[in-house]
Amino acid sequence: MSSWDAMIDSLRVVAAPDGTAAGALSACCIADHAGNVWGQSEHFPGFNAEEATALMALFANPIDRASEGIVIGGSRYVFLNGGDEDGVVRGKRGSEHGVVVVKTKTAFVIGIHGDNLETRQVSAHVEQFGDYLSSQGM
Amino acid sequence: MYGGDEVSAVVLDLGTHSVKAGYAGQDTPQHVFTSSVGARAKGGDVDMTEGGSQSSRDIFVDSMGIRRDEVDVTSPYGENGMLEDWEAVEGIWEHALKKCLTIQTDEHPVLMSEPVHNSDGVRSKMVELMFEKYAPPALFLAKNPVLSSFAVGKASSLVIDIGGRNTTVTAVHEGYALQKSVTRSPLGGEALTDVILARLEKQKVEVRPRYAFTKKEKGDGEFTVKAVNHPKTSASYSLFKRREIVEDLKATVYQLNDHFFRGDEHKNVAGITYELPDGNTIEVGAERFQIPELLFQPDILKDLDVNVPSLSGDVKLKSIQELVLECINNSDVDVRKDLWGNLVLCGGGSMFTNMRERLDGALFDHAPQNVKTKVVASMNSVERRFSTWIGGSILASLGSFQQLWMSKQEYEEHGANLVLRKCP
Repeated sequence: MSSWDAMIDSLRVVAAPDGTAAGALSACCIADHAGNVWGQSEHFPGFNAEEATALMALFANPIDRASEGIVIGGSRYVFLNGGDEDGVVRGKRGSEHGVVVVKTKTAFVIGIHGDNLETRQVSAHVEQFGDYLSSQGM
Repeated sequence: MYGGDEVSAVVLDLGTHSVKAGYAGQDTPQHVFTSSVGARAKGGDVDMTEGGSQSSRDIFVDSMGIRRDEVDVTSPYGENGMLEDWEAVEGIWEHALKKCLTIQTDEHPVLMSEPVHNSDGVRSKMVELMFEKYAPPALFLAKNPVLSSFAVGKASSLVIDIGGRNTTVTAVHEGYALQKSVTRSPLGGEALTDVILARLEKQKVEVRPRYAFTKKEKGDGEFTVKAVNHPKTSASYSLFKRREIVEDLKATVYQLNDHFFRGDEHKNVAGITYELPDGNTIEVGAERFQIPELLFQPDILKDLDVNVPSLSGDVKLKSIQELVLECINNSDVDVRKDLWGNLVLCGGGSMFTNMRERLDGALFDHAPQNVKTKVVASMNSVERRFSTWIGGSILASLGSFQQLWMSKQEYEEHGANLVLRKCP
C-alpha cells in the first residue's frame, strides 16, 4: 500500500497559494463509497460503512440531511454547505476543527483540520486533490 | 500576505437598495449611493457617461437627482435576486472605485459582499469581471449574513436581514453560512414602500416628485405650485422618485405596534400629518401601524386591497417568525439552541420603532420551552443599516484573514471558478 502512503502524504500538507506549506491537516483519508479505507494518515479516527452510507445520503440530499451533520470516525461535525452539485461537503466541530469531504466517482477524500488552518483553505486543497484522483479515473 | 497590511483593502457592498463602499478598518462606509442606475439606449444626446465603451447603453450611476429624457431606471439585480445586468454592475463598480474612492484599482484588494443564495455562475462572473476590468491584487467574496454576524462580534448567529428587495434569514456557524438553512421572503423594505405608495394612490393622493412642479413664493410664506410636464420622463424614473418620497414618509411616520396588531385596533388613533414636497399634506392614521405589521402578519395584505407586483406571486408570503422557525429547523440539530440565543436583526428595513422588541416577542412564542431567545440589534441605526459593510470592514482587516484572499495570480492560473473553492 505504499502508493497510498505517498498520496496521503501529499494530501496531508496544505499548500499556500504561493507554493509554500500553509500547514498540515490533522488527519486525512481516502476511502471508497462503501466505507473501505484505501489509505489513511496517522491519527485518522476511522471511517466505516455506516458513516459512508450517511455521507452518500448527505451528498445526494443536503437539504433534508443537513440537520444530521457529518460524522467521521464517531466525531460529529456541523454540516455547513455543499452536496453533489459541488462535489464536496464541509463541516465544523467547535470553532477549531473542520472537515472537508470530496466525493469523486469512486472515492471519498476526507481532510480533517485543527485551528492551524481555516476550513476555506482546506477546502480548496482537498478539492484540488479530488481533481487529481478524478483525473486518474478514480 | 496577498492583501498586505500596508495597503488597505476596499470593501464593496452592492445591496439591492444601496451601494456601500469604503476602506477596510473604517467604522462606516465612506460612500453610500443608490443601487438603481439610469440607462439609456445609445444614440441620444450624451452628456456624462460611465461604464464600458462597447456597451449598448449609457449608464448613469448615483445621479438620480437629475431628471433626464428617456432614461430608464434599472437595477443591477434580476428577478431572482442575483446580479444580472452586468453593464449596470460595471457602472456601479466604476463609480465606487474610481469616482468615489479614487483608487488605483491594481493596488487594493477588494472584498465584495454577495447574497447568500448567489449562484456559482454569478459568483464566477463577478470574479472574472473584477479581475479583468480592475486587476486588483486579490479579492474575496463573502456572504452578507456572515458579514452581518461579524459586525456584531459573533462567529455564530441567526441573521435576520430585512433588506431592500428581500428579507433573508440565515444560520451562520463559525463564520460560515449554513447554506441549506436559508429562508427568504420578498417582504423587504422596498415592498413596504410600494404598499404605502399603492395605498396613497388608492386614496387619490398624488405623490408628485420635485421635478414635476415649480414652486414660487408669493409672500407671507405662501407658495404657488405649478405642474410642469416632462413627457419624455420614463415611467421607471417617475416611480423611483415617488418611491424616494415615500421612503422618507415611511421612515418618519410609519412604525410597528408595540404588540401583535389586531385588525380593529387604532381605528381612532390620532393621525400624523406629513407634508409632501409639493406642499400638500396628508394624514396617516391606523395604516402607519398596519403596513409595517405586514412583516409579522403578511395576511394583512388582503385587507389593504392593493396590487404590488413584487408581492403578487403564487407563493404564500411568510412572516419573519415563520422564516426564522423554518431556518432553524433546516439547521443542524446541534446548533439550534445556540441560534435561538443569538438572533441578529439587521438591514435597512429593520429600522421601524419597536422592531427588535416585536421580533423578540414573536420568537419567544415560537421557541421551544427550554431555550432562551435573545435578539441582538445594534441601537445605532447606522450600524444596523450598514452591518454587512461593517462586517466586511472587520473581516478584511483581520490578520488571520490575509491568507484567505484569492490572488490575481491564482485567478490567472486557475480561472474564475476557483472562487467557488476559495470562498465557500
